[in-house]
Amino acid sequence: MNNSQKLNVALVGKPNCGKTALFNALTGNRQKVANYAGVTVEKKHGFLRTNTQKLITLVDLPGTYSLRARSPDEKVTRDVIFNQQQDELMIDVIIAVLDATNLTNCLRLVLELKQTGIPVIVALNMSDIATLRGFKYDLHLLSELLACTVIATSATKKHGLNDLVEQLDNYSPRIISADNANSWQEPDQSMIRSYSSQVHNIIQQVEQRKGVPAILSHKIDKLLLHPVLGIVILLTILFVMFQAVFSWATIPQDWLQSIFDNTQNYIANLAPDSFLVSLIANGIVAGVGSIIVFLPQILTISLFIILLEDSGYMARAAFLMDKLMGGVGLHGRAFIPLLSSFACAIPGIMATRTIENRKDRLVTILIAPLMTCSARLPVYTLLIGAFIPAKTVFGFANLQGLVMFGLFSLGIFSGLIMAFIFKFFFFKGGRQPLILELPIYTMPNPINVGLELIKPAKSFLRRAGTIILAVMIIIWFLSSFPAPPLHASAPAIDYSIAGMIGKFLQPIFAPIGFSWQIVVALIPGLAAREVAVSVLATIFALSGNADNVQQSLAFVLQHQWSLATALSLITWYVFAPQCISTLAVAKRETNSWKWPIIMFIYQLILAYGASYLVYNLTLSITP
Amino acid sequence: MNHILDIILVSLFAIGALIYLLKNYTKSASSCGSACSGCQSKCTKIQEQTKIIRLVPKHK
Repeated sequence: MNNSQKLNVALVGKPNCGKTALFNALTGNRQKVANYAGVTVEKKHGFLRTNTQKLITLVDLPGTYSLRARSPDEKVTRDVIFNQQQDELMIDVIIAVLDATNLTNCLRLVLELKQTGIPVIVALNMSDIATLRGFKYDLHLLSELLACTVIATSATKKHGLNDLVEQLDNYSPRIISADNANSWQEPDQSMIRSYSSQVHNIIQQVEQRKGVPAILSHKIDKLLLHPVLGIVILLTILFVMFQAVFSWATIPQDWLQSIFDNTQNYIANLAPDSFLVSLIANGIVAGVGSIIVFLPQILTISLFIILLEDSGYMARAAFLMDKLMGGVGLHGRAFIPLLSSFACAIPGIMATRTIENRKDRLVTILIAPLMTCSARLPVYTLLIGAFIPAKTVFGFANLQGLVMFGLFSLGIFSGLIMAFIFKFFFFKGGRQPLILELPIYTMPNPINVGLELIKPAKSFLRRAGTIILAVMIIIWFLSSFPAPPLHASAPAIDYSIAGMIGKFLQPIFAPIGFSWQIVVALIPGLAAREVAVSVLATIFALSGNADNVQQSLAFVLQHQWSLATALSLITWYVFAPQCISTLAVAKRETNSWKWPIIMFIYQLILAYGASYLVYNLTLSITP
Repeated sequence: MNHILDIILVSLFAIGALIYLLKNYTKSASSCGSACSGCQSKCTKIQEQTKIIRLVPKHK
């Protein structure tokens, strides 16, 4: 294929105008889409072919209102457009994606893009919603005034996509040499005023009918954004979510547990003396199986989050939390990164790119790992299930769900307290307000919810089948060799490398009640937090006799650990810096080892101190 | 003989697992953390702000 048959096209537009939805619709990708700003903080590539077989490389870029690029995510967009990135494609055509329900906020960027000299096509996206709300524009005139093609599109309804792709056939790759290069200059205040005036004039000319505001959404917002009722409703939603984790997910979890227990037992009995059989039964099946049984819990929480996102509620939650976060000095834009951290701290830390102020960004990065990521869920669920009775309190609440709710809240509040400390002592400065566009409420589409639910399930199972599987093979090996001496009285694992490492390090953790088995579990837990559950399953499987291999890990822990030890370990998991990947990403995003080291040290002190308190307090009040 | 074969097999599994983890974490340190769920495969190093950008490709 010659170069004229290839074209690099960038999708550029303000946040939350449907760029990623358009990217997915055009390329068949399934990148994360949400109806609030700041979801895309990194460029993404996808491919499509036109009718004339031209290969289009489509680049989805983070949203921006201007090429002035104040925040790091906006800088990604600016640098890709201006080809300032090594190993990045040179953009031949820009598709400026506009929100048809809010043209005023989008047009200034189009005027700026025109100044770059790169051909621009305008996609007037969300035109279906705009039509429903009564907006009507003269697209022909808009095209004339902007001096570029304008196409009405709807990414979700897949309207206008063919027209857009057909247009791309009319363009060829740009050829730029030093002789004919344009210079782009960042717009100053007078240019911005001039752009605003031009936008005003264009809107006056092309707007044939003004749309009506989303009345139903406004009515719902009066209730959901009420300063008191709104917070009560938000807490109730979170409360129901954690109750569901223990009420809905328990049955499929028990079912999965019995499958893995029976499989492990069956394999272990095939050749009890074989190392290979032991590796498969006690290392792989016991270890990986003990994580996979938590899939129903992961799916339950993911379902709630997807429903909240699709309905438009998540942006409201950000709005409600803003006052609380502002109280501790956090930037208004910190909510979305912290929310992302509930899935995993890594996308959360990356999402801080939407925060332009470096100090505010650093504070958000430092507290992101305190949000309860999904990898902690198996550890919490296992220990709560084993040590907290499944009884009803206050006449309606499941105690286990209540404790889980408390642990998530503890993560949030300790994050807020740490943010306050960081802001007060180290990063003094004024607070930036949150400016947020609230999407209209929509009924979640069941097909979309189902497809979105597959993502966390696939991700969880892939992690179990790759990293956790690899870690468990190594842990089994370290727990099985060297073989115990002849006539050894203790279980074989006590003489193994893992046993020796655990016993060597255990005195450091003795004040917080950790046994050597827990210490062994914490080390590979640095690779993936939830792997601690798998390691405990393998250690107890290797320590036990044939009878208790069949017993669930929760049952074994109940009989081997005190309540004080269990609560101490849970507390450790709330605060501890148990994730190498998080530290690595913090290093990359801050361009320095200083911040991940500070993050590691403060979390370690917090974890050890809190576990020490919880352990000794529980010992003093329990018999 | 079977016992030695047994030990060789599990050792090979352990070495394979170790190589996989080392490769994975070396890769994730240079990218966006492929070890985590929901992470990007590619990351952009953020450039310092420049007032004037010439539209000349840095590389051909």
